[in-house]
Amino acid sequence: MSGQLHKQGVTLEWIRGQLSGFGDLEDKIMAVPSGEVSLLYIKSVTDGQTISRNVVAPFYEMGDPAAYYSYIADYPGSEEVTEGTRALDLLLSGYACIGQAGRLCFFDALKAEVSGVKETITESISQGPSDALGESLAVNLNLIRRRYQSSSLKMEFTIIGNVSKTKVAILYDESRVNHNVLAELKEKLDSLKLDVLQAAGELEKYISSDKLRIFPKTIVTERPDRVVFNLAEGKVAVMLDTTGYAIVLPSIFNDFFTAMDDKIHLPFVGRFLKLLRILGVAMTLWLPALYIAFTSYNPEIVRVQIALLIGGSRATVPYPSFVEVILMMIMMEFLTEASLRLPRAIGPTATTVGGLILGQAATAAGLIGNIMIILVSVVAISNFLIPLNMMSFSIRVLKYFFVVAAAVLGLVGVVICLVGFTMYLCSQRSFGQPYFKLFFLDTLGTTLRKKSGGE
Amino acid sequence: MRTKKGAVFLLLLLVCMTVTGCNFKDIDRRIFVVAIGIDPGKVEGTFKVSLKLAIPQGDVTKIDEKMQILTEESESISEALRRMKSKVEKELDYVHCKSLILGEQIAAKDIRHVTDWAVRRRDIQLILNFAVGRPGALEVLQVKPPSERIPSNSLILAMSGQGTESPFISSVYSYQLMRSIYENGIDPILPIIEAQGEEQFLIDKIALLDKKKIKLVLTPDETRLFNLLSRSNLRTNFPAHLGGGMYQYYTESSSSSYRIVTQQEDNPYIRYNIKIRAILEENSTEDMVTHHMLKEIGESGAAELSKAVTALLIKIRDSGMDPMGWGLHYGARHWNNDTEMAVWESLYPRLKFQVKADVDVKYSGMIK
Repeated sequence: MSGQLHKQGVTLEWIRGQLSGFGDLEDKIMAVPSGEVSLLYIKSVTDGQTISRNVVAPFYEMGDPAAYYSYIADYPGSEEVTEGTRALDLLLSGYACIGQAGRLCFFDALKAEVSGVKETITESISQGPSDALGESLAVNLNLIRRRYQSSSLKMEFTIIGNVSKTKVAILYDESRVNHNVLAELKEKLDSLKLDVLQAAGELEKYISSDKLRIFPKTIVTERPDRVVFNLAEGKVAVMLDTTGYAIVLPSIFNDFFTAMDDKIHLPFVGRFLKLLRILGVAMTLWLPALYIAFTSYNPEIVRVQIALLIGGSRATVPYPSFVEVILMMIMMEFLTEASLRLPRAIGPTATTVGGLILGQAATAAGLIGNIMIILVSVVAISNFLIPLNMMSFSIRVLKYFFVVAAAVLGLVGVVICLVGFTMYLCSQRSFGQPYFKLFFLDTLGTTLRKKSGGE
Repeated sequence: MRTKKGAVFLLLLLVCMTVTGCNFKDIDRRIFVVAIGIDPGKVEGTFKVSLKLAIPQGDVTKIDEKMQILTEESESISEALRRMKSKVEKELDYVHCKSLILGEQIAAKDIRHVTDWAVRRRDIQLILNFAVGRPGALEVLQVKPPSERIPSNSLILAMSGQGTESPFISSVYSYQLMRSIYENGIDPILPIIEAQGEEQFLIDKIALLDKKKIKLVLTPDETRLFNLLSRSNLRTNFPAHLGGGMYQYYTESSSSSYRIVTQQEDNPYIRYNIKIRAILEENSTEDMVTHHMLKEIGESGAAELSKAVTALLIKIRDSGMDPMGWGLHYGARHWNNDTEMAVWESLYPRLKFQVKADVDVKYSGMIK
């Protein structure tokens, strides 16, 4: 068989070499007594039905490799290629390669999973692509391959879960990936002893070494464009069958505050939005704690007007400030959780009843201060500015640490807490990469230039 | 292992919770003192200390200023304050106390005791503005302007210069007062606040003190000139008379600088340079104001200004006080450390003044 292939010319061999490590590469020999034909295609971007109907079936019907080859070459959209890079490009964009007697012909069998692709739910953006990863791995791989047409994008498959037998794909750009990260990931995946694996977040939990961690170390995203963007940065993506999310690793703190439409906006707008997000995090983290610090420890920091205002609005409140804050925050968490579980139609009602009526009634009854209501809504809203859900949840939990610190030590407590968390963040590593560094790539400019210049 | 860690954490948290209490006091358990007034007591050598308290309003939408004034007499200020704690149910909090009014009778006698107390109080030493209250501190505290929403806010705004930009007000912080009391070659000043009935006060005079008590009170016009010399960009207007007509110009920007010239031993003088960029604001004649006239108005205004400033400077010199800190300026630029202040003392009464005013009226103020 190999002798036969060798006679077919260097080109097909070269293609095989280029595509080594492609788990979704299909390499077939179709043989009839009068000869044989090689068939080479990438499963995730091609349509299996098209290939079986238009490529495989005619071959056996005709029974003559040479006639079959000219039939394929004459097919509309087919292309005969002698140049290597062009051949790779065609293969990656969904063509099947038919090789006969050293000649190569490319047959258009592109599969575009358009109908099955849903819109993003958790990571919506204002402009830009709205495709979300679906629950089928094949569809997802198709979505990625279509956006990343490079021969260095490798896919490896493995199966995790004794019972669930979940198919897991590891995607990476061979020329850019950090191989230490890749090795560490593979090692971890191999050592997993699980019965059932159902969600990307679950896998994320198993492959992170630190059990008591507060910040997510890997991005769990439903956006194919985010996966592609991160692959181009040299990261590794892990995709699971049956789940609409991909895991991207290693991830740094800053990645969680990047929305995919940052690049679409004008430079100043994009930066402003990023600034807003950071400000939002600061607000949601510190406002409740600062309220406690200002009302119970250091009223001299705020202006006399505000001090009197808070004092007046708290005149009827029976409990100390931290009880008031924790009570309201828990109430707000109830609301957020409740509206998540409720059907879409009832969701707004819950928010209205909970947020508006409850808040209004609580102040009218004198159980909580007016300022507290403003505060709670600011905290709740600014929390949703974080584009990635995992981080958003982390921050939601984190603010209680600040609240407790403020209740115990006042403003000093808030500062201590802030210093502590900064130190914690600096000590963190995501697959060996410093977690708190500002940019994932040190030479962002050169990479982009390389990308646009073509390799 | 994991549960053990969690238990330790929880225990630490609980221990921390018990630490609460030493400093924790909710804002509704505090009552904010917004101004302190100090008058002489009935008995010789005692103080009558008055505190103006701001009471938080329950309903913010209503404009309803609530305040309370506490008074206590004692020979010590701190003692009076401690005693007043027993008169209210909440803790007195001085962190928002930004003004201290000295009764005129105290200012006429000795201000050093009160100043000393004010710069020692750690919570207010850096935020306190000083002023003299006329006729007494309590009367000034009782003034309740109708424009005010927060007790004493108008006093604070006026005294700190954050609200009004009146050219007649200078703000004096406690530490500034302290410094000019104990520094050689500079004498303290204090703004005077006059209570006019229940609803109004007037701050347009400056009192010059000789380290201890009031020696001289400047008139409002002199106060304005004093402020023109002591700070830059004073927003005010000055008159200029030209050919029987009266013009007023508004100072868009102003600056002043001086140099003490002592080359000739028998003829020491201070040269003042005043630069003003102005806009014509008022014209009593019906004349058309031309560019040429603007120049003339500026020249005549400058002449009038330099005359008035010279008169003020001579008045200050004759009083023997040095509110501008000329002595300090002189001492800082001479090396004879042992004798320089003595030399200055002998120089000062003989000082002459050369005032060079430069008024540039840029614009006639009319719509073209």
